[in-house]
Amino acid sequence: MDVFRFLTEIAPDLFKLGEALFKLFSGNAELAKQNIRSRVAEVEANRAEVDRLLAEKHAG
Amino acid sequence: MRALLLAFCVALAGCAGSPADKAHDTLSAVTEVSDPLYGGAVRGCHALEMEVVNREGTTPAADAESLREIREACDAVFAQFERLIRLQVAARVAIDKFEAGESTREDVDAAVGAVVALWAEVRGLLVELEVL
Repeated sequence: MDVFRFLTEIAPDLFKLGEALFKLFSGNAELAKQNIRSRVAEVEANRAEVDRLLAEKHAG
Repeated sequence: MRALLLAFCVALAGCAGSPADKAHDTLSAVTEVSDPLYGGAVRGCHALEMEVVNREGTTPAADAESLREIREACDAVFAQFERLIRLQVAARVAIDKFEAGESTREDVDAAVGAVVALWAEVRGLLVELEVL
């Protein structure tokens, strides 16, 4: 690909697209809530697994 | 080569832009680092708990106490990550209001400043978690 064309035409558009998507992700309140909810669910699942394994450890 | 060119373009674009763009860039820079770290903290806390499960020769009470300490420290870190995400959303809203002429540059600076200050606190908590 022609370097000058990439620099002047395509790269700025790619940058704008990436920036818009990034702002959408980090700025959208609903997405932010979903992000928190998914982390909380992951922590709860991890802890349930640890509690189960610990009970097995001391039962055995 | 393409990655290098893209990085060059990103650097060029970062040099320009309005105060609102720069405020968004600051928030984006925090998100770019904090979001993977939040995931890393979740995995790291699970790994700490699994160490308690896998160690040998301990009583149920000792294991329960270790688990309580780990969860207390981890909950403090998770709560701050959640607060950070909420503050970032609030800061984006402040920037949008500024662009619409509904708030001042000071409002934006205060909102972004709160995010940056909390981010410094979260990094401090992560260091404490490493000590565990």
